[in-house]
Amino acid sequence: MKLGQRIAFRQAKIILITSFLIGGFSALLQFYNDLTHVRENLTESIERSVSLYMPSLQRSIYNLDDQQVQSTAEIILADPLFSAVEVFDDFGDLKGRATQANYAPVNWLSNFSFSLLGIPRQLSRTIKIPSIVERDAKLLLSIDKQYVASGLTSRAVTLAFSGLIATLLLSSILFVVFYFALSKPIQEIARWVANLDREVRKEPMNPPYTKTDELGELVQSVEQIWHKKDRANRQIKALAYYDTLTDLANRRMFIESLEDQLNQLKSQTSFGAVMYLDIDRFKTINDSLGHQVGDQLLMTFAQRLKRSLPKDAVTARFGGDEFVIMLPAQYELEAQAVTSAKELAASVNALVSVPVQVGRHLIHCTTSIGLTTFPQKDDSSAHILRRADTALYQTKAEGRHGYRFFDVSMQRLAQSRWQLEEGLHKAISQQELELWLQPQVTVQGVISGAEVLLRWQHPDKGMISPLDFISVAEESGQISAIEEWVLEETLKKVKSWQEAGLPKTFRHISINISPSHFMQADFISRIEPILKKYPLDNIDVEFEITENLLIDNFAQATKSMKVLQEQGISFSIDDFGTGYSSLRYLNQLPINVLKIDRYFIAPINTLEDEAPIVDVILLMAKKLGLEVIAEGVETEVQRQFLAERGCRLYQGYYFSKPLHHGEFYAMICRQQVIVPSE
Amino acid sequence: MIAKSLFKLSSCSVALMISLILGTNSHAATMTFSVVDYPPYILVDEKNNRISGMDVDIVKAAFASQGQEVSFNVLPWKRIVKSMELGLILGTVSCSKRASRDAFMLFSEPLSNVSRSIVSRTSLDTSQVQELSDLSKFSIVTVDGWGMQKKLIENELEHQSAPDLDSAIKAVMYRDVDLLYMAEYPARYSIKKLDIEEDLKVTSLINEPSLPLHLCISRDFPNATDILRTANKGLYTIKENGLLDEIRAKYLSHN
Repeated sequence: MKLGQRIAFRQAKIILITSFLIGGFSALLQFYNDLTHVRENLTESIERSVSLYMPSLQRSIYNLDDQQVQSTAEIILADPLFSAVEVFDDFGDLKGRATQANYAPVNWLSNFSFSLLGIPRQLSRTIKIPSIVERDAKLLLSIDKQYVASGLTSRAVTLAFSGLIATLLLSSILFVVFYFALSKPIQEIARWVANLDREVRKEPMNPPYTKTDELGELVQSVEQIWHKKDRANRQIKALAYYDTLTDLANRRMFIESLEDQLNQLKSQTSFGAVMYLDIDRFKTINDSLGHQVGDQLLMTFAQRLKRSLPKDAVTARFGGDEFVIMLPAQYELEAQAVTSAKELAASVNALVSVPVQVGRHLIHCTTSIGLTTFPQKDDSSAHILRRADTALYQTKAEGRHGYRFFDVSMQRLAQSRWQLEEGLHKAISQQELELWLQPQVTVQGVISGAEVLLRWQHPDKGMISPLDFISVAEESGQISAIEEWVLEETLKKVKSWQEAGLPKTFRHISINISPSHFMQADFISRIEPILKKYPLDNIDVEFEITENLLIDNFAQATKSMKVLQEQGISFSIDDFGTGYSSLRYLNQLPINVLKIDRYFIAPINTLEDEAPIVDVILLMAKKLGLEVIAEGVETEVQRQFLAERGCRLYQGYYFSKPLHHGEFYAMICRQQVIVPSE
Repeated sequence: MIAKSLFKLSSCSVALMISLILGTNSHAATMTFSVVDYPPYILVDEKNNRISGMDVDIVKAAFASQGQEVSFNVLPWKRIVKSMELGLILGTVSCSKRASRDAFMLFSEPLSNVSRSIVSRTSLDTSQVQELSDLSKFSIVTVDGWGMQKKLIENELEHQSAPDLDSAIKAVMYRDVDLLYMAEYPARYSIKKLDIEEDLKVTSLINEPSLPLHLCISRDFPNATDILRTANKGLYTIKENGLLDEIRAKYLSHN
C-alpha cells in the first residue's frame, strides 16, 4: 500500500493542515494581540517620556534656554524609541534637535510591521508656554521604526517559526502514534480477515488484536460473523450435498462421487455398481396415511440403509421415495461387481420388507431395484443412472419387489417408450390421433351406441395401438390432454352427426377416462366447459372408468361422479370383475352400466359352458338396476349364451371391429342393424 | 503783525491741543514693561507679586510725570529680548545699549549705571584684578545672556555660564569657579540675600567703565517712538524736579 493511502498518513496530513490553519490563525491572533500591546505600550511610553520631560522643556523654552532645550532633547533621544527629537519654541524657532547618530535604513519587514502598528512616524506634542505669543511650543518626536518593529518582527518570526516546528513535530508524533495505534493494527486485522476468507480452517487464526476498544470490538464482531458464516457455509454445504430429511447424500453429492469414481477409472481398471431403488406404492401410503408417516418411513429406511450398507458405499436419496446406492469401483472383474450388487440388492429388499411401526400404523413395504455396473464404454454418471433407472422401471413393470440388472433390451424398450412419449407431445397438434368407434349393439343387433377408441397414426411407425401408448401417456402425464381432446372431438363429431342426421336408435357414446386423469383435482373444471360447449340431445355421454379407480379412491371418485351425474354424465365400470372391488360401492356410486370384461367372455365356447361370474354379474346388475354390456363377444355362441342369461348389450368383433369415425358414421347411416356373420 | 501773531498763537494752541489730545490718547492705557530680577535695579518679589527696584521706580515716575501709567511683568531675559525683537512686547528696563540691539530696540536716556565687578571667594587674591583682561588667569562664570557675558565673549575670555545670578554665585561658592563676572550692585545684593557675605567678596574692576542702563523699547511695538519720547520727557522732568535723585538715593544707600 502506498504511503499516501495509509490512514495514519492521511490523518497526519489532516492534522498537519489543521494545525497549520489553527496555528496560523492563533499566530495571527497572537500577532494582533502583540501588535495591540506594542501599540499601547508604545503610546504609553511616548506619553510617559513626553510628560516626564515636558516641565523641563516648558521651563527651558520659557527661558529660551537653548542649551537646556538641547540637553533635554538629547535626553529624550536617549530613549531608543526615538530616532530624532526636535523642539520648537512658541516663536516657531527650532530650539533643540537631536538625531540618532547611526540610524540604519529600515528594512521592508520592519517597515511593514511598523505600518501595521498604525502609529505615525512622527509625533507632535504641544508644549504650553505662558507667553504673550498666542502660540504653543512644539515637540516633534520621530519614532525609531527599526527599534519598534524589530521586537514585533522578531516575536512574530519566532512565533511563526516555533508554531511551524511545533506543528511539524506534533504531526510527526501523531503520525507515528496513529500508525502504531491504528494503521498497523488495522492492517494486521485486515490481513487476518483476508486469511479467514482464504483458508479453510476449523478455527480462526488467533485474533491479532485483543484490546478492549473499538478495534477490539471490530475484531470480536468479525470473529462472530466468521463463526456464523462458517456455520452457514457448513449448513449450505449440508443443504447442497445432503438430504435434509434422511441425512443421506443428495443427488448432487452422489453424482459428484460417481464422477470422481469415473475419473479415477481413467487410469485404472476396476468395476463398481449402482443400484436405483424406490419403495413400492409409496404414493399410496403417503396419500392414505399422510406425509408425516411417509417421511417417517423414509427416515427409517434411510437409517436401515446406513447401518447395513458397506462403509464405502455411497447412499443417496434422489427425492420422493427414490434411493440410489453406489458400490465403489473396487472389483477387478465385472462379475464380482455383479455378484456383490446382487447380494446387496437382496439384502436391501430384505431390510425394506421388515415392517415399520409409525405411530399406530404397522406398515409393510417392498422395494424395486434397478442395477447396473460401471464403467461401460464412454460411460458417464448420466448414462449409469439412466441404466439403473431403466432396470428399475423394468422391475416395476414385472411386478415390483425384486431387482433386475440392466440389459440392452431394456435400453431398447426404454428408448422406444421415450420415443412414444416424445411423439405423443406432438400427436395432437400434428393431428396424428384419430377417433375410432366400436359399435355397441342390442340383442336385436341394433347399434345403440359406441365406445370411443383412440388410434395414433404415427408418421413413421404407422398405426400405434392404445395398448402401446396409453400407459406411456399416463406415466408422462399427457393422458389428460389426450382424453380431453378425445372428449371434445367425440362430442363435436356426434353433434355434427346429429345435425347431419343420426339414427334415433343411436343413444349413447362411451368414452374411456383413465384413473390418473379422473383423479386430478381440476378434472371436473376442465371437463365441464367441453360438455357445455357440445351438448348432445337424447344421447347419453358415458364415462368408462376402471374398477380399480373406485377401489383406490372411493370417496373422491364418488364426489366427482355425483357432480358429473348432475351434468348428465353416466358412468360404466370397465373390465368389471377384474379388480379387487368391494360390492358396497355398487350401491352407493352413481353407476349406470357394468361392462363384463372380455376375460370372462372368451372361455365361453358352448351354450353349456359354466360362466358363474357372468351369471353373478348379470344377476347383480339386474338387482341393482344396472345395464350390462358384455365385451369381447366374438362368436354367435357367446352372444346366444349371454342373451339366454339376460344380457342385452354386446360389444365385440362378432358385431364389428373398431371403425374409423368416418367409417362408423357411414355405416350407421347405411344400416342401424348389424347382422353379424361368423 | 498782530494777525500773524494771533495766527501763530492759535496754530500753536491748536497744535498743542492736538498733541496733548493725541498724546493723552496714546498714553491712555497702562503700558507694561517686561523685566527680570536685577537688584537693585529691578527687584522681583514673587511672594507678594510685587516688582520694584531703582530703575523700575524711575521708569514709573518718569511716565507718571507724563500722565502715563505703566506696569511691569516678569519674563526670562532671553524671552524679553526675543519678544522685543519681534515687537511682541513694549520693552524692558535696565538693559544696556549695544550695537546688536540697535536693530530692534530704542534706548531711553540712561536710567542708571552699572559698574563691573568680580565676585570671588574671600580667600582668593584678587588684588591684581583691575580690568577684564586680568580675568584670563581665573575660571570665570557669568550669567548666560547678560551683557557681562557679551563682554567676555568680545574679549575672548573662556567662561562658564549660569542660568541666573544665584546659580552663578553658587558656582563660585561651591563649584570651584574662581570668579563671577557681574554687575556690582546685583552681585552684592544677591550675596547679601544669600547671606554669604563672609564667604564671598565683590571686587570692582576699577579700570572698567561703568555701563549705563536704559529703558529699552521695542522698535516694532506700536507707537514705540512716541513712547520713547514720553519716557525721555518724563526722565527729564523727574531729573529736573529731583525725583530721580531721590529714587537713586533710596536704593543705593540701602545697597
